[in-house]
Amino acid sequence: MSRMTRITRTIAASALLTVLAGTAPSGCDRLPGKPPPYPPPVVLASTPAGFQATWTDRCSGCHGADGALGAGLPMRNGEYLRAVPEDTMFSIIRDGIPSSRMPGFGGDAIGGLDDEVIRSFVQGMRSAWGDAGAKGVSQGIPWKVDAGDGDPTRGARLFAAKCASCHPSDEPADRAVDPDPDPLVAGSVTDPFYLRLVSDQHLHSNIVFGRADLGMPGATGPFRGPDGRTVEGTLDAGDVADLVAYLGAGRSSLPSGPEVKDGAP
Amino acid sequence: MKQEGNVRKSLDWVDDRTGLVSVAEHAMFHKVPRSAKWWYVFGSATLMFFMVQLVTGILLTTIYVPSAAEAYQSLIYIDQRIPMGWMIRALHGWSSNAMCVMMLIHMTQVFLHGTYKFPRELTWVAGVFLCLTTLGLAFTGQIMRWDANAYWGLGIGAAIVDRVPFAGNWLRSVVLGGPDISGATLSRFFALHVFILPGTLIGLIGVHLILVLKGGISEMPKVGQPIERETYREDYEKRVKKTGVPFFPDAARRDMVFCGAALIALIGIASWYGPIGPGPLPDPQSIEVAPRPDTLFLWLFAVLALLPPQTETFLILVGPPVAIALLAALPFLSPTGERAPSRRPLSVIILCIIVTALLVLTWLGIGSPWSPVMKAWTSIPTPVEYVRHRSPLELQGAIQLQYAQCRNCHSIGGEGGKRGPALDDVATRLSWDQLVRQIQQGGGNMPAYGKNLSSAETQALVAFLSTLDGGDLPATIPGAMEMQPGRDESPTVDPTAPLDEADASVASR
Ligand code: HEC
Ligand code: HEC
Ligand code: HEC
Repeated sequence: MSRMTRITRTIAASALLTVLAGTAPSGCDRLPGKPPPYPPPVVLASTPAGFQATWTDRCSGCHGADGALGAGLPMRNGEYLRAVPEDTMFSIIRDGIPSSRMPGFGGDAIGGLDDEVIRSFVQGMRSAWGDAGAKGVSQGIPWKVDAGDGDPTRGARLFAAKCASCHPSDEPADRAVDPDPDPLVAGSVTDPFYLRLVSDQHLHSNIVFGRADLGMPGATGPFRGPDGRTVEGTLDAGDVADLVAYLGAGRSSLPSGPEVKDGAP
Repeated sequence: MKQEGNVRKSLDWVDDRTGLVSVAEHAMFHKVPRSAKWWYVFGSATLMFFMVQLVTGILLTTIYVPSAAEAYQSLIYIDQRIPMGWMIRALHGWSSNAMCVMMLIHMTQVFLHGTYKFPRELTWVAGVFLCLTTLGLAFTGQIMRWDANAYWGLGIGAAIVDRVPFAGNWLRSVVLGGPDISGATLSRFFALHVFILPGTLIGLIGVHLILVLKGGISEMPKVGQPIERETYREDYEKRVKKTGVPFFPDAARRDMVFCGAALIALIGIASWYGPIGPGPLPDPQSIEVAPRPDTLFLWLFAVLALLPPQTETFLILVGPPVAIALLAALPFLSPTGERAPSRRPLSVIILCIIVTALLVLTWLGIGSPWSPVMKAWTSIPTPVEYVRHRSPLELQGAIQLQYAQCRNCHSIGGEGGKRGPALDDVATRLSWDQLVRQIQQGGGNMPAYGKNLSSAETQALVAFLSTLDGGDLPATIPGAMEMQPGRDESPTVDPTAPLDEADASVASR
């Protein structure tokens, strides 16, 4: 075999190999390195899977993995979801709650959701959790808080009679000292720092709908008297307004110096 | 053999007019030392990867849009819409890494075998410039992605030229095409990446190859065969004439086998791991933009992170030029003498130090500041154990921990970013006042939150953090607490016990 033939053959063989190697992958488009679709395919937020995914992505951090047992108000509560008007729910999610830690998820927010998606998300939330939770907890009290028409003095009396033993104003029960703490004794809701961080609406929603996941009763009670005994009896809209007025007044109960100046509500 | 005669005839015809064929034939059939074995394949592999870069690069430029508004989108377009477009991007990205790695191995081999000595000094110098140009291509390449990581390169570049005395400002606007990173910056780096640097590289490769042919391929170093100016050339020629083999096909076979294997490996890696980036879009609004360079430059990332700030300016401005000058001057510093590594202990030690330093720095760059988990704040719930039995203020603190995006850098319950320490037992480490100070003043890699948090927010946050004494979560969450110093002192909770019992046993501590 002469030198030329050898060269020609080698070159031909390597060219063939290269072409093969280069084209083989194009045969199958299912290689692991293929990037996932971008933007990711839209899953309707009104379907259970789409709702769940959006919830996990955007809400679970603050309102709990499954809509309960988060640091924020649980949404897994059919009665609550029906009480909040659809448009209000929509605007809370789109724009957030101003000067609170509830962010907006639509509009100009980074990676914001389209209005359409938010609407179908609200639908999805209702169909997923519309039946969850006990019924009648709210005593039919509307969701919306009425600003400024409560009586703080009456609220204070109500609070002392029904709430104070679960919400003592001093330091929360020290778990290290108390060997067997009552899990329902929650700690202060009259702490001015706490109150500056939450809106009246937040207080109102908590008192009306309760937090079944953590043991906070709703408007139906039962409550606890100062002696620690159970107090039957329910709250009506006026009672709740008075309680909110009383708690709200506590926000300014701290001398405001330079270090307590802040933007909290 | 009639056919062959025709081929020969046409070749002769071309050669008669141009002389190119005899040059090519000389290149192919010149004798190379028999001892040139597998050590010598890395240079050819570097060249092969450069060819891949050329081909894929040209394909990419046909679609890539070098404008600030569209660059990112055009990459997505290539990935999603062009058949096998992602593959081209993957090949280009991985082959760039492979080319740099091969080049560094090749340089190491040349250094180790003392090949840069007489009469091949200029081959080495051309090689040093090839190295710089290649690194420049890799560096500008990651800027083409125009994602958050591209800003790393630009930020570094801007920071370096900014420090040049007197001309700093002017240089900055030359590099960035204006006072700030903008569309003009991208155009500039695009020109560098697709015209200037590749052109330079091709020219340098030509010079490098001509010099290689001229000087002949070196033999494996032999102990007791030092290089002497007067006799080396003659001896080399004599030995090669006697025992040498033609480059093609004897030596070239190894090159081809190696390059073929490398190419197949490249295609495998590209189809398995896919294209590199583009990473997240740069987002000026989030505090934790933490751009990271590609693996190749992680060592530089680590150096810049670790340098004490006072020395930074000096080292950045003086370090690289000195290092490059030393590298280029190497053959003139030791042009003759022994080539065998065993007779050049100093060189071997220096090489070991450099390689170790680069590896350690890269490792630090990979490991230390983990990228933040951008969506942690809305998508990772506070562990239920940390929600139960917390006061309302503490619950607001838990919300604040989400809202201030602390969890993008810090994990609790094993979930969240790993940039800062896990906070599950932070209360055992820091007092109330220390927590306040840490949050307000930041420190290390943590931003200072001082002005961004109200006193109530700080209060709530610290109240919540003070409850994290490592007791609530049984050690079932991987990595959450086992690695924390001092963990052994806390009581072990039976992870299988029902939650209430576990809580009670913690409470009774
Ligand atoms: C960063 C934490 C955070 C995330 C994430 C978050 N929220 Fe909120 N949310 C809050 C806080 C804090 C409040 C209470 C604000 C206040 O003081 O009124 C709130 C309040 C609300 C309220 C009104 C509750 C009431 O009746 O007072 C609704 C409804 C709500 N969030 C829904 C959502 C939904 C749906 C999502 C996901 C799309 C979401 N939130 C994500 C923190 C968050
Ligand atoms: C049986 C005990 C109990 C009684 C009675 C009770 N609460 Fe609560 N409350 C809780 C628990 C438990 C929570 C959950 C929060 C926690 O664990 O810190 C809570 C939460 C709250 C919150 C919301 C805290 C937050 O997350 O921002 C408010 C507001 C509140 N209670 C007000 C009241 C008022 C007003 C009354 C009286 C009408 C009342 N509570 C009666 C146990 C009680
Ligand atoms: C950009 C990432 C980042 C963010 C966001 C961040 N941290 Fe940090 N944090 C760190 C790093 C890094 C450290 C280690 C600092 C050091 O080395 O001194 C740290 C340390 C701490 C420490 C001390 C931990 C210890 O064991 O010494 C606390 C407490 C802390 N951070 C709380 C917070 C809180 C609260 C927030 C939110 C308001 C927050 N961090 C946000 C990165 C971050």
